[in-house]
Amino acid sequence: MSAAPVENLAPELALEARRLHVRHPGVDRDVLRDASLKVRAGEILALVGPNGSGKSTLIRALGRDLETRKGDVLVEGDPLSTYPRRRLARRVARLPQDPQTPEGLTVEALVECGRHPHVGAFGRLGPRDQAIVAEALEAVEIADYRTRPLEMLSGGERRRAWIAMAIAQEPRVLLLDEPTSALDLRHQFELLDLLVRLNRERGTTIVLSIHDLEHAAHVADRVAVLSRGRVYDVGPPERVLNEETLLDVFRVESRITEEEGGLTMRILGPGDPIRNF
Amino acid sequence: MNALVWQVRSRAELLFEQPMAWTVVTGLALIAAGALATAQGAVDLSLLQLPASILDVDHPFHGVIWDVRLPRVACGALVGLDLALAGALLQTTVRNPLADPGILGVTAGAGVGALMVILFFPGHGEWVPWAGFLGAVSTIAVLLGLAASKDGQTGALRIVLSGVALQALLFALISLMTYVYADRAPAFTAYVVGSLNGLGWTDVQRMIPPTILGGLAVIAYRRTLNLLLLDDSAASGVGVPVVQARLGAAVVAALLTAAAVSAAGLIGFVGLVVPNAIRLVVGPEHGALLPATALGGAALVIFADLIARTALSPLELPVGALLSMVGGPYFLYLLWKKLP
Repeated sequence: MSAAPVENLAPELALEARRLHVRHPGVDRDVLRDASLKVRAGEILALVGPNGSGKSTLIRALGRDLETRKGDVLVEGDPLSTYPRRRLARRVARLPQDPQTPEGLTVEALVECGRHPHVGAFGRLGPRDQAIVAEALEAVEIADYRTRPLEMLSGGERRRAWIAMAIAQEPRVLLLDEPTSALDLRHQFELLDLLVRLNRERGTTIVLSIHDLEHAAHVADRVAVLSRGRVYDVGPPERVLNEETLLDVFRVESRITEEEGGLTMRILGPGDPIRNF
Repeated sequence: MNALVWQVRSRAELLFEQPMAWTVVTGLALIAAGALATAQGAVDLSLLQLPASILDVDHPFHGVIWDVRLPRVACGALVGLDLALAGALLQTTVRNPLADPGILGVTAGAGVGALMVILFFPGHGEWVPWAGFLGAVSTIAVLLGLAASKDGQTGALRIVLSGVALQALLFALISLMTYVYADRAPAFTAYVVGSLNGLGWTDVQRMIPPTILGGLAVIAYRRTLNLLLLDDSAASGVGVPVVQARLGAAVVAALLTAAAVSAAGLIGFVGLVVPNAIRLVVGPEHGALLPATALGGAALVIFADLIARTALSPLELPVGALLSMVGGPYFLYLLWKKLP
């Protein structure tokens, strides 16, 4: 593992979805239909797409939170189904969209849960585990709230506590389902900056689903656009997030300009797609 | 003066924010309840006389203390500890504060199993807790099957209702068995309500192996239990086999319940009241919750039994009746507060 950025000669794949068909339990319809995606080791990949396009479903399928009906997910080249639970949890950590916690659970207790894949069902947390927990709390800047119950934190702090739990897993890949939803603007930026920091400092591969396209362009190395259960396009944000795609996939008229800082998007209003694919 | 009071109070508050402080508090409560219950009764001793009466073979009450009071107090402690821990485990297992071995019919299941041995293998008292364990495990299996539901809210209500229905069925079985075999069965009322009357060292001996086994499992398992507090998706995300872990916790709860039932019959509500009360002050983490719950349960049953046998002396009430008088209203309160 080198910290230096790898050029795009033959980037190692962290995750690969091959022709996935996935449906939710009890629903008689595939949400993902023939979705394929390659996630490169060390990148930040943002999944965007309208409601119901399959962003959350893809994130959950990549983390084995949903069964795949057809197709395969490969984790570092090996099929997801061959991974024992704890081994998978040491490779891939995931942050659910709206995780439930019981009243009174403290931040520290939550973050300690992240050590489970390393210590096992009957193991105890050693000094190394304690140090990693402390470091994870520092990394997301909530070490001061260690002993507080989760319900006493603000939405942004709680989100960061869950990310600390994922960090404590020491995963190579972090999957986040709409990590910025229900946060105010400032907290959205802080959270995205935290993810960038994790990616740069620890080399963690990050896959996140996100609604805000400008945020996606700001944070991601590559963007995957999902539409109707398929990956419509994937690539650098400047290429993928164009006016035509926005009209096709999101059905909005827009003006997009590229400046030194990144993309500036102006959404003009609803529009009719040029073609139906 | 005021400043001093404030200082003492804030010190005390700081102390009680240490989760383990409540293990000390409940431990002290257990010692106090144990000492009081050993000293008080038909023959009253002062607490000052207590050490002498226990240690001095020639003390006039030495026999009473050793043959009657101490085994009864020990039984009360084990019964309370077992039921309180079983309640805490079940609440985590089904993620529902209303869970209790009594309400869910697990004690009744253990009661049927235990009765089978009492009635049909009268010479094998040592089998009683294990037969009770089989009865309790079967009940939990049926219960979890009945209540399996994807939806958390209906799940909470469903499991309680399923438990109530199962309990009615099992009570009918117990009443049939005690009626048909009235010559050798324990009295129905005392058995179903639960009491510590007439228990001795044999009963203590019988309860110890399953209690130790269950206790060790709880100690080994306490961190994984914390993971079951997360929702299923998050727990499996950190590598917990959620279904197996829940079943494991339920089996341990069944074992502890059976140990208590084998001696005291179907005492209810200890598993509901104690863990919920302790959780209020120490929070849901099992490392702090379980020791305080175990000691608190032991103290509660010993203390309740002391009142049961002295309040209307010479009449000895069954301790279970007294506990239900506290537990029933508490259950109603939880129903009202925790269910939508």
